[in-house]
Amino acid sequence: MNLSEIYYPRSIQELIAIMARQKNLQIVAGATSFGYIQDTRYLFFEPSIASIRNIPELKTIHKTERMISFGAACALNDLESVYPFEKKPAREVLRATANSTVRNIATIGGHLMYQKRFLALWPLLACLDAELEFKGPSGTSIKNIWYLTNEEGLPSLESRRVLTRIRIPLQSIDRLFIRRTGAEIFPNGDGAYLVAASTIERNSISYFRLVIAGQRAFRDYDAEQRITSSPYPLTERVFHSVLRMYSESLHRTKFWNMELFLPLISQALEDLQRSSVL
Amino acid sequence: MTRDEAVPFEQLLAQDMLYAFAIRAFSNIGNIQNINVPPLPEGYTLITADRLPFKNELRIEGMSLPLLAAKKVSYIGEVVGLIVGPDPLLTEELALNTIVDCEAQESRLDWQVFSSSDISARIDYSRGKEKLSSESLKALEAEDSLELASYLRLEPHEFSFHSGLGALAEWENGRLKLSCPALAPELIHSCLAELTGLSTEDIEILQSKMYDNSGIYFWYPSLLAARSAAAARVLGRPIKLLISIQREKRFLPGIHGISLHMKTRWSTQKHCLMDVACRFAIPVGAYSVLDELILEKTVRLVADAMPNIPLTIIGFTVKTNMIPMGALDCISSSAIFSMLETHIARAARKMDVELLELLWMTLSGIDSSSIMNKMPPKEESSTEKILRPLLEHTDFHRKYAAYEQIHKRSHGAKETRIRAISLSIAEQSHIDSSCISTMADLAKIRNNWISYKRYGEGLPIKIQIFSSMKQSDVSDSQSKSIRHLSQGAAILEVDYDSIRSIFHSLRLDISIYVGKILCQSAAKGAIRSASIEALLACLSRSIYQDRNIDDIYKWIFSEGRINIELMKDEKANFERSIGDLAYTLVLSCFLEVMQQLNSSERLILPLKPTPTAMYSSDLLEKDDEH
Amino acid sequence: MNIEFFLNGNLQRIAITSVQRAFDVLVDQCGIKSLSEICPDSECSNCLILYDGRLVQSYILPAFLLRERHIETIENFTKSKEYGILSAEFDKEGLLSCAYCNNSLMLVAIHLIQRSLSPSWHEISDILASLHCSHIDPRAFADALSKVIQQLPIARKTP
Repeated sequence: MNLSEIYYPRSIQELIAIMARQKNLQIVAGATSFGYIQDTRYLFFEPSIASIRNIPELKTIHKTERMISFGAACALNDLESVYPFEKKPAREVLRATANSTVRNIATIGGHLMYQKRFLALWPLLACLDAELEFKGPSGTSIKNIWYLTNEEGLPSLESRRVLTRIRIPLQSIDRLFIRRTGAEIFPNGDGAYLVAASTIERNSISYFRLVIAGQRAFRDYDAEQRITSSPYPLTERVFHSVLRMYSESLHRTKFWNMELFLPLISQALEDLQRSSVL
Repeated sequence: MTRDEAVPFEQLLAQDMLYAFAIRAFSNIGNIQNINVPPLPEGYTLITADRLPFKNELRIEGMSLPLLAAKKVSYIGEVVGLIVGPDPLLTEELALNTIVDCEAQESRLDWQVFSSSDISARIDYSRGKEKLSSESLKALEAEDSLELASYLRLEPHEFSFHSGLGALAEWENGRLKLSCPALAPELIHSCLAELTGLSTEDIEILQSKMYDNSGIYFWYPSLLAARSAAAARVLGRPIKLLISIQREKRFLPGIHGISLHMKTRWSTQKHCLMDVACRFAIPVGAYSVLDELILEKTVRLVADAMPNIPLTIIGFTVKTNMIPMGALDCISSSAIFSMLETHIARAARKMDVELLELLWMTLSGIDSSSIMNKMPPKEESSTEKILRPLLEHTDFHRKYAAYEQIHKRSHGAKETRIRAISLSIAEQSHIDSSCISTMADLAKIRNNWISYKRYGEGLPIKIQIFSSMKQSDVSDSQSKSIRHLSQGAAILEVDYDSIRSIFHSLRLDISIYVGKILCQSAAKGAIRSASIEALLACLSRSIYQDRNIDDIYKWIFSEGRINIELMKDEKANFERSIGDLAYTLVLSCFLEVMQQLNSSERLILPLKPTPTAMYSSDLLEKDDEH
Repeated sequence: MNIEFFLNGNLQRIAITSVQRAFDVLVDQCGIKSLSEICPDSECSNCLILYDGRLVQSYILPAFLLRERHIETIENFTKSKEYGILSAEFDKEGLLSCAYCNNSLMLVAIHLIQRSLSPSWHEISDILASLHCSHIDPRAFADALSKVIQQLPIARKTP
């Protein structure tokens, strides 16, 4: 049995000071990285643990005119009534992450910082251009959520920095297309989510994002650019051209299970063409 | 341990008691090369097969299995030893950290394709054809006939149980005292008497408090009791053998699966079933516990269900390098009966005959028109009593006809939402009630007095089965009277989203004739539980493959509706067992719904196969217009 | 290390290690009898507690997260008016037939009526689904709960 030293910082500054002193520090808020996964009687952690549930700045939700930000230690159930989870498709994904009692303790920070794969909410927040605030001994930085991926689309987490806040620009999203596919997502299945978000303004598509994330994350900026500013509904030529672009980029990046994702992308584009609005 | 009111197993204690946890071989199977135990603190002991005070063999109904694997590991997770110590948490950790090295041997897991050397038991049954003359047979062959064939595979799955698992053993003045959750303490009695050489009077068994009657509490507690008794004998102190359910659950005996082929032949002129041919295989794991009994029971129940039909059954139990099956819940007869009902529904569709009429005629074996015509019957049977209100309040006839019309009219047109509705009727004799009939069989075989309590549906039902006759003398009528038949019917209606390949909504109406109702809520709870078990088994891979079981439960709660009606018999003086009946009804309904969806060409995306419950009608089918 | 937390309104001071789960600490050191670990799939929620007013599974919670928290188990409510009315209503509707899950079911019910005057069907089915008790009819549970909620204001005024 390896016993760990436990710290209970009361502020982010205190947490950073502990991080500067302790090399192998494990930050614990909910139980994402070990709750279901560790099935031994005794729990195993790094030599030092920092429990961040007592840090108030990490549990608050702020909303301004332009964006909403939630602390990384907000429980998943706390987010159910705030943007973007107030929209039904997003709320269903949130509820599908785990059962209600687990969502009361698991945090959005733990969810996004999970090392083995991208979990359910990641592609949704990526579609909404979420930004992440990190703090550490070397200072504060704010990065786009894609910062958590490497060139191959695999999770890439920075050590010695703690995720403190998640910021999402408030924008009017007309459509959210969400499909889940494959096997289990958590803790390390081969399932994935495809999320497409779009906004239509004055008969043209003013905003379009499509993200696939599971074991790897995928997005084609060129295809998105092709769609954005196109007249709505898309002409057949544009539709097929975009589909071809996605097919080529899936092939080029050797993204897994292309045969499964290409029809789903096609469905997402077909859904875009339909007239139902959120 | 004292003879007081039954106590939950986790609260059982004895003075000077030590705790024991099993060391399991996790990595591979084959000859054991080494058992690497971490350094044991003072007071902690390792017990392996060489230290056992008795023969390393537990005999259960003619089959023996080792208490602890001695030289060879036969399946992943087999127990090779015990760690015993005073602190349960530390003992468990030591057991978990012990590594068993085996020389790697190829596992034999596939049970659908097998060679004769893998077969542990076989049964061949044929009825009906021998009574026909060769001219009649030729006439039968010549008659216009419709042949249907299908395949069903149900995977083995884990038992659900809630009463804990383990055994507490204490030796006192040469007598053995045991306490464990078990449904058949007399089986523990006889097994341990044979193992230890004691007489049954010197073995005292106290049952701990039981919350359910899961099949895992049939023979497996005997093995746990044997291990605990052996450890207690070695160390001279009471030993409480614990099973860490979360970590060891996947290595516990489970419910066996079945691979089943069925062919039925129908007379298109007389609109009747001419013969049935079944071939099935059941994986029984590394040790073939009760294999012959499973085959005999399956065949007997199926033969009873179709009294007037020529029937051919070939059944096998197949040994694999898997955990020995619990082999008590007779899922095989449920599967065969469910598949037969699906064939009846398909035949009704193809011959353009009313479903209920064909169902009734085939299963009851009589040419009855009372269920389908408008004249009131002279005397309503119990099945009709259940069926009529169910058909009325679900509006079954109208919906069935409407969905069939849509299917025929829009043949080939793709649709986003497809509805299907199915009906199943069954009697308890068509399936089985595991504990009761198996105990009856064991009574026949063993020539013993047997009494036990069954904590069925939250209520104790005490049944005493006496058999002083030889096996061949026991008549069918006597064994049937012991079985106390239940009857039931179910209607399942689903709304299938063809784009997302999920069931959008589900409504299950189930009506069961329960005899005397002592506690309505407990009876309804048992039916609901069995229905949800069946739905889980069928749905687990239909709604997003490998989806978390939480999601399925959530979906059933929020989108599904399960309505349960109980019909009681005022004259009955006992309650009937109903869990297995509910399971069969739901399985049958679901298979029929899958059949309707599969044979429909209205699906936009192909229906995902469900590896847990796979059903295919592609094999060897003639006269199929699709 | 030593931690302090409130359990059913009483301050607890206990020694824990980083490796322990909240469930073990509550059962072994704090004497809580209503929690059960006998769940085959580790998702039965028979280890449910209220953790700062939220339903949480104590088996997946490390013990060190109990520090300075308010923990409640069903023992805290057995003498309350809400509990009495709930158990009478549930008994009448036959919802307490599953002896295995009764404690968790009552805790869920108490939590729902404390949290909201009219819990929605989605809230109820969402929480019930984590109980994994296939004996319970969720709609009967919801109906019983709404009846109790109607009776509560009068019951609370009665001494």
